[in-house]
Amino acid sequence: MEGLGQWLYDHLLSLILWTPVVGALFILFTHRENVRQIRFWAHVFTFLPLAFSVYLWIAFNPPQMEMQFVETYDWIPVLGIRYKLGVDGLSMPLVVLTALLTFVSVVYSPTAIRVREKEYYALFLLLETGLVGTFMALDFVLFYVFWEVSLVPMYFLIGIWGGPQREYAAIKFFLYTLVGSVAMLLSILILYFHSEPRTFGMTELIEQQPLEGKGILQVLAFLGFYLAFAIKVPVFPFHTWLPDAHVEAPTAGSVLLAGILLKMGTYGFVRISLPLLPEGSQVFWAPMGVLGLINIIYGSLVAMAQDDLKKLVAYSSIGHMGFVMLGIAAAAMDGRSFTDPVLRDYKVIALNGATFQMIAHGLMTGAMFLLVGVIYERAHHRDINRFGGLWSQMVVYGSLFSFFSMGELGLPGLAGFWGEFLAVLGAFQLFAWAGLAVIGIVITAAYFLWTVQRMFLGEPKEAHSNYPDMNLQEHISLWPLAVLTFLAGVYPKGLLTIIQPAMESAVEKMTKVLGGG
Amino acid sequence: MTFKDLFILLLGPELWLTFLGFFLFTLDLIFPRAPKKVFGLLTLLAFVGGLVLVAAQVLSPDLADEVRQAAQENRLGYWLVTTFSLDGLATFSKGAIFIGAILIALVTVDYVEKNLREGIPEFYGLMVFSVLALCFMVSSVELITLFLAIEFASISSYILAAYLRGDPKSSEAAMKYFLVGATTTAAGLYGMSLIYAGTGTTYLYEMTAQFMPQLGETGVAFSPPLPVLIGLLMMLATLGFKVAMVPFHGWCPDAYEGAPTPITAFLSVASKIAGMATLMRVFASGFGPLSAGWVPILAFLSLVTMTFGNLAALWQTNVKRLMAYSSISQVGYLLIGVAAFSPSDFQTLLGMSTFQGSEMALPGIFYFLLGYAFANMGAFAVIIWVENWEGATDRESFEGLAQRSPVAAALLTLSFLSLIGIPPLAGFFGKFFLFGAALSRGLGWLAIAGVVNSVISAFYYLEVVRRMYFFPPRRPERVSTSLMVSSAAVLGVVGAFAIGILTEPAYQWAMAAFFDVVFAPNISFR
Repeated sequence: MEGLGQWLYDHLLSLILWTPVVGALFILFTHRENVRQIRFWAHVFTFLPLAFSVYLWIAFNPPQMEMQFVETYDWIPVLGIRYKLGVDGLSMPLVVLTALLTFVSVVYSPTAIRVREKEYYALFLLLETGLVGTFMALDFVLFYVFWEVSLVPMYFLIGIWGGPQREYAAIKFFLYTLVGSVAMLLSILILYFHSEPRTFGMTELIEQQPLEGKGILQVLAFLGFYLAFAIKVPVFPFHTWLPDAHVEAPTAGSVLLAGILLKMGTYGFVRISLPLLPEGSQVFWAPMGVLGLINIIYGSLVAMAQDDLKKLVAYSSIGHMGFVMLGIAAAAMDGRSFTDPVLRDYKVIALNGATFQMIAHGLMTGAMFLLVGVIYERAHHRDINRFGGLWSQMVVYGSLFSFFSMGELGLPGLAGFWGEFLAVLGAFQLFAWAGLAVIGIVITAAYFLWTVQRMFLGEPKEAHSNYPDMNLQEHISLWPLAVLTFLAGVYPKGLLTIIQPAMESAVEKMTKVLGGG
Repeated sequence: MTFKDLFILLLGPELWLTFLGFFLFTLDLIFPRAPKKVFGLLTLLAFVGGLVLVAAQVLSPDLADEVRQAAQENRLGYWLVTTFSLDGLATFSKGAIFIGAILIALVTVDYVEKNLREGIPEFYGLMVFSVLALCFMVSSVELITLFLAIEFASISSYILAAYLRGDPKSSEAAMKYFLVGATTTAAGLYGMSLIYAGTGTTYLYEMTAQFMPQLGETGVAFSPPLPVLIGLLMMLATLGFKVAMVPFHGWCPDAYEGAPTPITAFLSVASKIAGMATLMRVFASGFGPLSAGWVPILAFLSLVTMTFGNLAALWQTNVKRLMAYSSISQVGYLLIGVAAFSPSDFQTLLGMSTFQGSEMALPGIFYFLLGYAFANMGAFAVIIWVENWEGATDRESFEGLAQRSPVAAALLTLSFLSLIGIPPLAGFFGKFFLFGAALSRGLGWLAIAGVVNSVISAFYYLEVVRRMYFFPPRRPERVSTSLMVSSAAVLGVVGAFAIGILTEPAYQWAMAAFFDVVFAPNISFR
């Protein structure tokens, strides 16, 4: 028994990673008419990774800067390609978030998905493996494999179970992401051919800094990664796939798109671009900051103009991801910011904010898309102006919607506040024009409050009187997110102590290269 | 070992195919009432046996040494060892050709029963002879032998392409195939005579031996004398025709569309593997030291081929035609590997400099070919699966396939994903190696062209996937097929998965093939 426990502990990451694939196989061998059993397997095999990842959170040792739970096996030794997994304070919360959002999505799905359920759940489980693997992989080839694996199931999820424009949205999503990924592939190869000894290992390459002082080559490699990550985030002007994909995807697909897939981009910036290509990042810190601001202000303004609730939430994501990009730009900033220890601390603060925002946004936007799904299942439309006075008819729904709206607009005491606050605080100390982000915060507050007002306040409408309040599945899928949003808001330290060491480590690695002169 | 033993070992697969080919031709005369399925099963047996014999050749470690020694001691006719080689390139290509041929035989039986009325034994006999010709092609190390093998392969294929006698498209296919083939082969023959004029020999290794010393002194590749370069380019016409490289691709779409579908699969898989292997043998091995002369040309042709193939594929409505243009573009990717060849690879492998990890070009081509063979056969098996049921291969026939036969739709999707280059399927690693080779050789622009083309190709492959998954079924009934066709599709996709995940052994095998080719010039003949 002792031996088994130790074995499970040593292979915890692989367990989280591969359990969903096992589940997908179970579903493939279940008859398509046997819907109950298919759903049962989907619940079991998304709950297991969640349970494992909760254990991962508990067993995780926050002060340790190095990777934890590392597993290394040779895969293609002749080229130095390995199966290497590991997590640190940056990736561990994202792994847990993925497991959580996948589980709540599967719990929610039976109310919305009625056709071709076998394929649906099998693809959903495959998607989870792709997403979790992206955050765990510490070898570039493995990272790329999972990055692409997550692309294919989402294409089908949008294309088969999506809204009226689903086919267009699906192919647009696929091609946009593929353009970014192939650019990244070239950058990975450039890094490989300049490493000595040759390796695809992320930590090894960060240690080696193969492109240090290589000028244009470092810039090109940075741009290759930038394209991949910026499309995924998405950074203006690469954002045009997002409204289509998010609006057309089925509810659970939107939850994962907004909650996790966007974080793949920002994760890439913090994990790869900053520490591995510090000089390249430094060259582009100002454009990254400006684009982050444009994301915040432009995204919020466009969100304000939406009448379609789902579109509104989709554009709000663009705005919120702008704060993450602002924090990343602050970390990349040049000048004496790397020699001055105080300014360096502000970089860490800004990055803390960025990563906190990733988690907070995942929780809250996931919940918002679920809430959009809830009302769509009842009204079969999402036009904000046609609702009104819903609060008195759907008390719990109205309360939860208002709660998450407050979170989204950054009310202190809820999760959304800390990410934005820390990112802007850190960035503001480094470059004052980051303060313009406040405009975005004001607009965000305006449109979320306005939305709550239009949908839930005012005279109750006759047409909505027979809407039932939320059912059991909807409760189960939303309450965990609400509780966590609240907890992260009143006790941010719980999350920040985990994130902080990883951010310090990233800034330290950049300082090693940039701080010398 | 006596001459006879060695001879049988050396030519085992070829002798076996010759025997079974003639047997198929005569069987019908002796037993006119034999069920037609027997011929199909015998063909399958011929290819499985061929694969086993190749495996035996690869796995018997003494054979190569034995042959080498016998050659030096003059026990194994000078005429044989200088024209017919059993190096890594030959065994790897034969292995890949036989794997492709087995899958083709599996999908042929049903198709023949449905579509052919007469000449069935000859159809199978010609298939066996085509594969025999391809085996000779990849083993030929002398220009006249090579020419004969190419002609042998081409003539068998012309007849096979024309086999649907009632269908004018099939006749058109064969006619175009024949005219382009005859012209380019004539050009190639003329090129060979120019090369002979320039070098005084028709043996490829003697040419290498002539050029190698000059390479050794300067360490860099040099341009060949003009007649040799012109001759080489004229030979490129023949080989380019075989693999459907732009600008010698003109026959390809019509021949692919008009020919019986198993023959289309044969042309796109087996024939292409042999063509690429021969191209590599002539350019990388025979004329490798002269690479400065031909690398820019092949790099340019690679760019043109993949771009043309992908752009033209975007407009296709017939899936067989789509596969034709897709296979043209895949040749473009393969040519990246040939263009990324550098004579310094020779020096690395001859021990003059250390292994860099950047010698991905030639092993990359071998790996890519194997992955391509699996994925393309998976795709063609599903196309035949649908064609046997629907009687057509236009895109509309695939609409709603995901609900009429989920397995077929999933297999075709996975094959296409491999052709796009989505990991962990074999197609991804193939492209990974080839683009890597280009980057490490200063051909970054070609690598960029490669990835841009991969994105373009995603569009037309996914167009078919879109129709299979997002469209409602055209008819309610399920699309079923025989065990043979479905197992061919499964084997193709499983193969693409397997060598994608077990990349290491596949890559090692490809490396071994590469080492052997480069070391082969060390064998002394006289």
